[in-house]
Amino acid sequence: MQAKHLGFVALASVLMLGAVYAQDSFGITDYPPITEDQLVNPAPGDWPMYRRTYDGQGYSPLDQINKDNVAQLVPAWSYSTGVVEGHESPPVVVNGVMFVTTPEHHVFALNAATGQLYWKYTADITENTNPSHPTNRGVAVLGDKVFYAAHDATLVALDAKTGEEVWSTEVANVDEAYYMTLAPLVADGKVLIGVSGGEYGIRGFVAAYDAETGEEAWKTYTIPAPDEPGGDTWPAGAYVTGAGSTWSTGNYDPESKLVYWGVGNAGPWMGDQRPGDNLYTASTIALDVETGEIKGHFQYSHNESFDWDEVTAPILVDLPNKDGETVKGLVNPTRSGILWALERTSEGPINFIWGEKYVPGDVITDIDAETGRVSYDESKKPSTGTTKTYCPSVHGGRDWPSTAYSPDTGLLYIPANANMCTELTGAEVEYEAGQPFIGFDSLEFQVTDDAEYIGSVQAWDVATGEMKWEHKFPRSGNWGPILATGGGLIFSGGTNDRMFRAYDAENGDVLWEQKLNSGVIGTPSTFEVDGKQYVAVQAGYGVDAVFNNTVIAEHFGISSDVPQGGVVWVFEVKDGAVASAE
Amino acid sequence: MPKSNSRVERENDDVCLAEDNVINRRTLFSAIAGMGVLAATGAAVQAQEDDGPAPGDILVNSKGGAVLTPADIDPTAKTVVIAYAQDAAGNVKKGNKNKIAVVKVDPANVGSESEGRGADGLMAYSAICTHAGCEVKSFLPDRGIMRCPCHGSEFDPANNGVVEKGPAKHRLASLVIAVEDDQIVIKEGFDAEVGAQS
Repeated sequence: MQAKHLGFVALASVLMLGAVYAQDSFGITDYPPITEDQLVNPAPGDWPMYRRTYDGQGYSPLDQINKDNVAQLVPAWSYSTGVVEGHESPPVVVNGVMFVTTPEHHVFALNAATGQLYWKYTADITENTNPSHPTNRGVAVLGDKVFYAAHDATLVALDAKTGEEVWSTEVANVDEAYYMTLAPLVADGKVLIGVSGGEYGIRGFVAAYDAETGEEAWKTYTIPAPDEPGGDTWPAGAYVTGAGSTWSTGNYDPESKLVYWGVGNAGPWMGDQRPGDNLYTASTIALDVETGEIKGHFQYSHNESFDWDEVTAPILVDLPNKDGETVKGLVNPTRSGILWALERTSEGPINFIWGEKYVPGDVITDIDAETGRVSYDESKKPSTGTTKTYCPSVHGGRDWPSTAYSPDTGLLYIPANANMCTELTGAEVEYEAGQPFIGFDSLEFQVTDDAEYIGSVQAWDVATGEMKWEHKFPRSGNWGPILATGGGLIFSGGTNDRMFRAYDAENGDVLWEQKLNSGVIGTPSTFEVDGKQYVAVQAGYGVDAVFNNTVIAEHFGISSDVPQGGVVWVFEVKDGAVASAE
Repeated sequence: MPKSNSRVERENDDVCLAEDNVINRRTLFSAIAGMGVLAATGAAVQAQEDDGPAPGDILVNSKGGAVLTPADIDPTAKTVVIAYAQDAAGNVKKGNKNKIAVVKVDPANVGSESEGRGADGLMAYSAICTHAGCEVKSFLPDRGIMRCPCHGSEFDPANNGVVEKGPAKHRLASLVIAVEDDQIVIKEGFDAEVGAQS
């Protein structure tokens, strides 16, 4: 390596540039420890975790940037990450410091107001790490530490001020193709993580580690052993390779001390190779944060055979139950194409309220009014030795990109994809450690012949189960996580035209858009420094959005070329243009 | 030691190795139930892989083991044929990394990199995608391109398996094959690393 050489050059630069960078060159000087209360009740100007708040709403009360002035949004600063592939992590901002993660195992700490780099950490990744999804979805913070789930299934705690490692813990074995891409969740003094590897015959789990020491507090498998509750939903021995990955960050209810975590597809893919409901695949599970015990669950697709990972955690929001009484609820638009409204109880059990199709689908024919259990059109369900075509596709009505909820509008915002299907020929498969354990002879994506659009942003009233508005993208999918703000706006990218947009949260009108350097599949955030609001997002197209776009482009006869390269973008409304929202 | 070579850099500052200042409190990974069995399986597979496709082996269909003939490879099919190598003693070399994708491209399109590696447009590659280890099963006859169904990586079988489109970064390893007595015979083993590579 040329580290010493670089150091010499850098020293020269400091001498030439004098004291301009002195403060930053010495790193972060003022970083009060982040308390647990700051995570439960974040300051309005902070974005301290993946979705800002434990309820997962992706909402910030900041209203300095609003409907009246958003048209004047301009870049405040930008930062090239130096890498390609999918940049998905939200800029996490506390104490005026922005933490972002990128592919190639980097964590950046930047001055949130100026873009000056404080430090850049690059993880040393174990050889043989599964390269499936070269991305990372961000950090968590507590005290003076920053927590990062490295790709090689290692959880790392960094010193927030210096970027140096404080501790690291091996979470799982890369030789069995476990890997991690998610943002950790800090709750109850612990760091919670989940794992990827659902196409490789892993046995998924959620695990918690002491934030101070990295010692394991608990580890709960998502696929129960035969003697555990739910163990009888698997044939003998199948639980060991039953998949049930947990690759998206959970949400948390500090009152009930329950964590809501999503569980992915079952393995291998063909359900006839593992008869039974196969708990807890394609489910949301409620975990006791202190012990890891599974206290409740709701399964969206029993005997899952569609690669519908239901890993995204439901948003926690109050809504009416079947009797019209307001209850603590969960809302989740799943890969299966159904928007679910569920009741969460303080003891753990999760009750069905309603389910509505939010994108067209031909697999689910009915939802039981009492239990929420779905019925399948068996002619659409993949099985060994047959070829079946089903919609939505393996990428689902919505993949990993986050929804948002605005308490101001009462609307849930969904980055949706419609009119795409999968043709799948099922096959036998034998487990081989570290190798794909899927079981198909062919897999093809299709766009429906009559498709007038693919991607959209949808807004749903969670109280009534009705869609209020939809903004459609005729020639693009939508892979854009959504941010909702107190300024009456939602922000999202996601399309193949490289646009980052602000919409009127009430009616979906596009109030501002800016073409960036690359497609935007990053998770937007907003924050405030010294009384000024900023909106931040990473551009950097990659991972499954690229493949999905290839199929769409082929169908519509358009170019599939979307340039790659990561850039952190931060936007502001210049002083003088800020109109009061009051 | 995990992460021992992780790096911390600062703008206009020296590059320092975290190794100098890190306190590593490692928690040892506890093996899951059944891992011993899995490890043994892995070892057995490894032994097979060490004995991969070799000169003199013939290609047989991975399904059923029938000896492949050139007529079995349809240039208009939307999937490749997955084959294994069978040695003179009749041993079929199975295992993920021994899977061979056989395709037929237009001989007029065969580039210099692939010249002499196939037979009349018949080409043989590792069937394992260099991105994430899925089988590269899809074939797009119109474009003469192999596509991995998992994440959409594309490879050009007329140009020694080079990456046509990511996320894969590395080409598919190829075999040198010839047709003898209506059988597809391996003349040279894989010319590059097989399997998923970062």
